Amino acid sequence: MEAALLDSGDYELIKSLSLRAKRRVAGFSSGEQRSPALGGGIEFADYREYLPGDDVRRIDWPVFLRFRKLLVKLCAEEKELTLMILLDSSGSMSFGRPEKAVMAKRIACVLAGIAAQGGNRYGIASVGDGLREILRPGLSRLPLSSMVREVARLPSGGAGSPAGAMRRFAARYGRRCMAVFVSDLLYPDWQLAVGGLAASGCEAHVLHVLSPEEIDPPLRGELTLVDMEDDSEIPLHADSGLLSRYRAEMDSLMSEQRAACASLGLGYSLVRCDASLDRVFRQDLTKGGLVC
Amino acid sequence: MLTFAHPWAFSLLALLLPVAILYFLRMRFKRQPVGSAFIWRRIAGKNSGGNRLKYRSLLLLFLQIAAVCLAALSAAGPSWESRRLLKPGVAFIIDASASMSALDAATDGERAESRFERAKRLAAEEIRALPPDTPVMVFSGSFALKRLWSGLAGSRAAKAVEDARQEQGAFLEDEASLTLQSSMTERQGSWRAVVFTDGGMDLEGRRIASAFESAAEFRDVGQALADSGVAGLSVAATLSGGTATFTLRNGTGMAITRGATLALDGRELASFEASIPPGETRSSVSFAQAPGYGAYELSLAGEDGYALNDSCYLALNPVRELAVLSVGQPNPYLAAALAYQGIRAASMAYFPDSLDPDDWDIVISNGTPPPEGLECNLALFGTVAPDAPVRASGNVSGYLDPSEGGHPLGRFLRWDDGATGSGAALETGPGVEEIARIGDAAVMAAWEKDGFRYFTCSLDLGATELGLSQAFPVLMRNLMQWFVPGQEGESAYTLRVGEGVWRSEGSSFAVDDERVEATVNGTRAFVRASSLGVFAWTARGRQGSLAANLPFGELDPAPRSLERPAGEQDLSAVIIPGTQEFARLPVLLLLAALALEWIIWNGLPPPGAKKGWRREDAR
Repeated sequence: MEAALLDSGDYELIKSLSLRAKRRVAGFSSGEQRSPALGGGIEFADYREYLPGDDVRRIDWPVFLRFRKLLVKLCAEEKELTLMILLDSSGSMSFGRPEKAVMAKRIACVLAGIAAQGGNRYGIASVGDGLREILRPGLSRLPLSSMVREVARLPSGGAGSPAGAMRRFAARYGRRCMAVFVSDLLYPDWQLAVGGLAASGCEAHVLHVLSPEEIDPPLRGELTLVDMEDDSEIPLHADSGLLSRYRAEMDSLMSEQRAACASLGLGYSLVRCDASLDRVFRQDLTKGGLVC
Repeated sequence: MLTFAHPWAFSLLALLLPVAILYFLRMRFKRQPVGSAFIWRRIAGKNSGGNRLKYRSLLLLFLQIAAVCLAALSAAGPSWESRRLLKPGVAFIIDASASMSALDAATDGERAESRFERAKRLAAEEIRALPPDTPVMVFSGSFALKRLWSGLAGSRAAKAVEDARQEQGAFLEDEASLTLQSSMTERQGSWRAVVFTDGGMDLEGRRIASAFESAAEFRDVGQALADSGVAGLSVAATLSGGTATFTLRNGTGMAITRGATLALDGRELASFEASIPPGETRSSVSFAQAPGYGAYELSLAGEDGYALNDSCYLALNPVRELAVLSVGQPNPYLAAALAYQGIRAASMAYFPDSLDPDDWDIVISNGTPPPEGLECNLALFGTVAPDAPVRASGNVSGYLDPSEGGHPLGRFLRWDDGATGSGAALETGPGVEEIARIGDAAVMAAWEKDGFRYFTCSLDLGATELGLSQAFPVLMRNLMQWFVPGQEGESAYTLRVGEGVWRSEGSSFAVDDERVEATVNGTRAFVRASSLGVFAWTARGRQGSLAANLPFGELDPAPRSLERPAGEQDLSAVIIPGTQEFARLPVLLLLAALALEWIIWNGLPPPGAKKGWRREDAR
């Protein structure tokens, strides 16, 4: 299982893409992303008046010749980005062919790889019934294969929604990282989860993973539906009328979720679990502004 | 009582067992994992719930059981046997022949009415006097009996008598009895007849009585009538012009004199006073001009009680030549047979590509096969038409013998002069009659198709002794008469009312008068007049006259009593069994059950339901 998460094409994908942050982020060490702190970087950021003791090499002499004022150049210090990948590990993620959880893990691995390649740090956590950090962002970086192995071992299934875990995430990583939340949002309190993510203050992105069977169920006849999260059952008769109402309800829910993310300033991308990673990253996530 | 044609079909009820098994299996609903059921919970509504689904499954089970039972029932061929009581019926027959138009002398207090009107009045009175649940049929007519009513006695049946119409033909019992027996078979039950007649039936009522197994009563409606009339007109040429000969009849018992007029096509030829002694007298009158072609009418002046026999008619038409075409090699025997007056013979070496059957009465070929699809009166010797219902197979030779069957072509034919020949044996198909044989094989055959007549003789006239036999001229004469009937002289178009004859004037023969029936079939026409008088006909650029006289039996209106005691017949009510099949009803119910089951199983699609993936997938 661990070895099958990524193949050689996926590794090529990692090399060809880079993360795209909309905001300057606070980090810990030098990285590719722009930091709000102004310091000894090479990129010009602003001017200030010369104060005794400043380095005279930083005086902008053309400006002095023009304006007869001594001004010192300030440069932005390039800082490192921390990417936190939050994987929904609720029971519903085990549904689909391939499983949504598998697609989520694969996306997580590629995103982590892209982050690592750009000199950034990454962390991976599962959010289900609580926040569980699988890989913390640290100074040492795991080789990609080790990371993939760790991610593959991540269990999924169980009751509970990520809403509660978001509060812990915000408390721990609020405003200090870029967050990508990979979930199917198929729980009643999805708004709390999304709202909690937005409240963390991170530049956040929601990857909405669904299976084709959830979008257009191929059900017919008398069935007992078994919820994979809590094993509850619903006996019903799936006729064309019911299926039509389901599709309409699903359409409405997805529109509502997209609108909610937009209104909260979160990025949003819809991903089918049977799509190829290449399509997901080059089209869905590129269009969504997460990678470039 | 319910009966079944195929009781074994009830073995289909064994299908109820798998239906029940499937029901119980279906009650254990298939478990289907879904990622999250929270959307399903929001929309399931009345489609969910164990109890609702159980009731739904029960309804489906009931429909499936009903479908199996209905299928078994319809396959078993159910029918309902019933019985109904049928009272003996009464068939009223009103003689409408010509003599029924006679006005018998009125008795004191009565107005003069014709025998026919009296018959209708009496019949209506008897019908009204019958119990209302008595089955009744009313017939009237002369040479063709018509059914005016079939139902129960009552005012409507009595009113139907008024639809009877006086005719001018003779009452033909053979034809009438066929109509009566057909009607009685159709209506079932037992019937007796009440016949209103003046005795003018051609078989004196014997055939009618026989049709009702002697349960027939005859009501005499005729009374003695002092009448005179004329019939049997003929004309002949004399040195000084012409003479008309006719038969005068006097039934008054004393000598009388009546004025008479002879006319040709409406122009008076002679007017005279005819002295008529009692009884029948053959008389004549001369006229100045030579008798020509046209319609002659001889009428007696004045009126008596029976006007229809006061005139008689004669139609004289020129006898046309028969147009006969010979195809193929000239043959002396054929040439000799066709070389006499009245035949216009022509010859061709080969058959033309197309041929108008109106141009030639007969086409004869010796040895040359005709093209396929040729429609005309055709006589072949030594060959067979490619599309004929006879096939040549094998060869036979020997003495000719006539075939049994009584075909007109075999009339007066005697092959006992030792006529021999050799030719192909003919295999005959349906509708073909054999005329002559050699041994067991047919060598002559005849048939009709689409109004044309065909004759085939496998013996070649040039290679056999057929042409030399004494029977050959007789055969040729029979062929002429069979192919072209009605060429019987100048008075061939002088008929009797109700008498149907065949005449050969081509496919365009027509009589523009609704009183004359002229039905064309091929080049022949069936002609029958329903009224006295003269009529004009046209055909192939020719025109002529047709005359219709009273039938012989209607010339003398003297009534004859046909009353006889009705035979003893058991006319008790009968029980008529009936069978009503109703296999269709279970089939319809079965289809309805299947349709309802399909609807319940699949549900009706809601209006405007979308299909396929949505816009999200396209992004």
